[in-house]
Amino acid sequence: MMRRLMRGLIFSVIAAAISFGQTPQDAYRVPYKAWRETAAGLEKDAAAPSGSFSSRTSSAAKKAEDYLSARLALFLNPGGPAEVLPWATRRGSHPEMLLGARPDTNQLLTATDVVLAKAITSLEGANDPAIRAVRAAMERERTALNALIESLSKGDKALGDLTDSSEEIDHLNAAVARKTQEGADARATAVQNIRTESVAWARYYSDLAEGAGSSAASVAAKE
Amino acid sequence: MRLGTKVARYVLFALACGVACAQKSVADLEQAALKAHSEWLRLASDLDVRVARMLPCAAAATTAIENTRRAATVRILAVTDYVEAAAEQAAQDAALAQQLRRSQQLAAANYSQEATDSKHEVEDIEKQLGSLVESVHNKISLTTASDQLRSIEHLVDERAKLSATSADSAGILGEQFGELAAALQRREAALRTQVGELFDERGKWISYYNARLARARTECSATGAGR
Repeated sequence: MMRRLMRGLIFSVIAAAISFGQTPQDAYRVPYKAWRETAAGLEKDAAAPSGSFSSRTSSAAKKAEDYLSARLALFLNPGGPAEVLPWATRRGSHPEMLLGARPDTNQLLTATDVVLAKAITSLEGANDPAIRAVRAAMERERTALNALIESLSKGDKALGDLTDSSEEIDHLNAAVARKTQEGADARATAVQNIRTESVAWARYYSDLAEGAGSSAASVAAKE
Repeated sequence: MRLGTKVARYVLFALACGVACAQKSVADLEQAALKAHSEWLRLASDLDVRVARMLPCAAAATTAIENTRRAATVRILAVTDYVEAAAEQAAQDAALAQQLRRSQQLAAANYSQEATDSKHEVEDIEKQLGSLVESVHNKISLTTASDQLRSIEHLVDERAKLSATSADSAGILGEQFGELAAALQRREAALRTQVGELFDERGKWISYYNARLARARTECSATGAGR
């Protein structure tokens, strides 16, 4: 019951998350447009900056930072490869190891059958009704034992299918885990790149203001 | 987007908890089944030797057979519980793999769009560079800014490539999750078949130990010894 509830919860929340996260680009496209509008013409104006140039570069730097924060959120959005990895690398269950004619079970039952067969043979031809009754009981036991052995070996085909499916799933899980790890690594690199870009843009606008001779320090020096 | 992010965090929590709980449960049942198997094997492996040393009507002989029969039943029930849990786990994993397939398909589309946007961003930076290079002709002090903008262009270009690679990876991962979901569904079906087999097997074990017990009683009647 708990498992069903948990499964229902997981799937409904996943479905909701997928539907909410369908257009993540909108979250960074709006700040990008705002940044580009604010920064328009700065490079051209840098050759002959007006008095407001420094505040324009500061404003552009702030908008660039806003944009890159929004862009970063796309890569930091939970539910990505890194979070899926524990599931993808989970240990699979292998119940087939306990099913069918396990070697230890098979060996025991076969050995029991051999001993029983010998005992039945040794009582062959006995006239004593009591001994004959024991022999008959042994034969019934052997019939039940053979039915059990047959039942265990009968499922060999189904068990073979199960073993094949386990191997297939282990193989697919390994492939998924590898690809998921690659995705997680690519995301981590992208995150690092965006952070580096963020610092680089801040430095660029500072360099632009400085180079144009309109940074706070330059203005102060001129005055 | 914020709501989506919050919801996604809940997803992670629920996913992690759900998977962890289910995994623990299947692992516990596996351990219980292995323990029950060992216990039955311990009792069954020397049952005939132990019984042979006892007098035919010794109560201990009947008890030994009954204990082994009980252990066999406990074993088969434990294995059945384990297989049923593994089948349920396979069903849950299959459904989750399907969800992950869909989410990876979406991610592939998103990364692809992201890559396109990043390429446009590179084009915008190239325009900025064009303007700045002209300004550098008039003001050499802008060279540092120009160099910095070139290095940014390189970074953004790298990001565009990374997004394109991520889009490809997500596409492949989506296909892999689809294959995994199908394999897990086949596995669930195979495990359910085994549950049916185990039910039949249980009856055979009970019949065998009942016949073993009946033989012991017949031997007791035949000899009348140990009463």
